[in-house]
Amino acid sequence: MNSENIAIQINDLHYAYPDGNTALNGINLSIKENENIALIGHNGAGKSTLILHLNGILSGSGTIRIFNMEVNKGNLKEIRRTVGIVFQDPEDQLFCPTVYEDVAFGPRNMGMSENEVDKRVKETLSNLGLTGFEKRSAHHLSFGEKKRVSIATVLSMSPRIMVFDEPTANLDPAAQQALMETIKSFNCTKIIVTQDMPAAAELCERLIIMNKGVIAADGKTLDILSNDELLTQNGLSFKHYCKICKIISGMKS
Amino acid sequence: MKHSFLDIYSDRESLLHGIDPRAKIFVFLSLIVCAVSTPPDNGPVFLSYMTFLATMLLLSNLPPGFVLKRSLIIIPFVALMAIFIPFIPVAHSGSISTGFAGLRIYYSGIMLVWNIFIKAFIGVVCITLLTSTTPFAKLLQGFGSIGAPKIFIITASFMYRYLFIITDEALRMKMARDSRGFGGRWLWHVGVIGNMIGTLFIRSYERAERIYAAMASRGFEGDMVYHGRLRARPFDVMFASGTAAVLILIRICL
Ligand SMILES: Nc1ncnc2c1ncn2[C@@H]1O[C@H](COP(=O)(O)OP(=O)(O)OP(=O)(O)O)[C@@H](O)[C@H]1O
Ligand SMILES: [Mg+2]
Repeated sequence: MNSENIAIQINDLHYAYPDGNTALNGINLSIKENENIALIGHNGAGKSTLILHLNGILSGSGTIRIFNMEVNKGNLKEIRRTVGIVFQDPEDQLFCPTVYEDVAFGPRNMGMSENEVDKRVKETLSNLGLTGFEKRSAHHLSFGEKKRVSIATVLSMSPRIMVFDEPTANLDPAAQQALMETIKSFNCTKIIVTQDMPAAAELCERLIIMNKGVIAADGKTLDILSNDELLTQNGLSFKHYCKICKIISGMKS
Repeated sequence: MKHSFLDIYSDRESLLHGIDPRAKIFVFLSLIVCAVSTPPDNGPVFLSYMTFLATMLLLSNLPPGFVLKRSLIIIPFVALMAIFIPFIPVAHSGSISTGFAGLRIYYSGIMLVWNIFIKAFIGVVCITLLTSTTPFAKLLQGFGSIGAPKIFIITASFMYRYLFIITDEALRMKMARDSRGFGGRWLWHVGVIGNMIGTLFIRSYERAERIYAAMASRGFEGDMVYHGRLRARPFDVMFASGTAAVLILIRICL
């Protein structure tokens, strides 16, 4: 157990929203450091709810340990600097008047000096190809740019675990590809919530399927994606894509 | 997504654009204070204020038509407030008959309307010049660093960020409503519109919750740390004190 670092350990996690809606129904999960995990599942399966538990925004019953530190009220600060979450809707993630302020928000909350913050922001923006966006305000950016800036706001805190909620949704194919390359280049433990199977296959060696608040499958990405019966059971079959791919490659030859 | 601007033109370059926001706030606030405290019948002083504003407009490199248009938005408000004032009887005031239903127009009432109008107008031109030469973020920073309460600054910054998103949401809802053939009896309208307002409120509320989650995830603990990186140059100080001196001279000597 000690030979490899466990990044995330979840035991018997249950959660119901205040309106009585049960969203998580007994999650058990163990993720090693530097693993890349794809998390897929039908709409309403509980994916977003699960990731909100990873940094203590929501807290259900059961235990969650991040690098062997139990998530509780006392150490939220430490937990949130370790786990960075990029939310689904960039409009929610970007709330400052300028891109600079948004990217600086996390580092400032970590208590960095203004010089360090400035250095961090510039580094992060240049890493993501966003140099020159400092003074722009979020509501004048394109959707793809907003997504990138959202990622920058989390990356600037250099978290050891990064969680992306549907990073490639609503992007055009070129922007999707570029964003995937960017995510690939980060050196940390990654959890990527997605409906995009090709992206999952390209980015992650391990894949987890959620269904109605429980984990329905957990294994090697390609093993699971090639098991159409399992995918169909969970409402995730993507045979129709493959059909199109076959037709297209047939036309070329 | 529509691209809307509150602070359109604020990214241009001009002498006024380059001045430190705090200096600009100080100058325009001084003018407003001077104008408000001037008796309305002092024509030369108001003429001087106007000349002062015209000079600022020249220094700002803004299209005069734009500034005028923005400033005239006060007219409906002033008109609404002031329309009846001249007809209210005032003792010891001269008046002329309108020859209609015994109504009379009182001179003191006209003076009061003029008083309201000219001071409101000067105030609005000041605000227009200030906001059109200063990007909103800088303006907030300026107000923050001269001691405006943090909670106001934060609220204004969120409003600036989310106003258009909420407007967009409302427009999208209206589009969805109209494309499903909305129309018909008036009472039915009221119900639908009430529902839309309710939905908009809930959506905004839920968005606020999600934004809070995003803030908390990045270590937010209740204190917004906007660091002032404003640096006043000697020129800013000179500009502020020089113009304020001119204003005070106008106010006292004319
Ligand atoms: N704020 C909330 N209040 C009540 N119920 C909620 C709330 N947010 C989500 N739910 C419910 O919890 C369940 C899980 O939702 P969740 O958002 O985690 O799903 P998801 O897997 O992220 O779905 P999607 O792919 O659509 O994003 C759903 O049944 C949903 O209706
Ligand atoms: Mg979700």
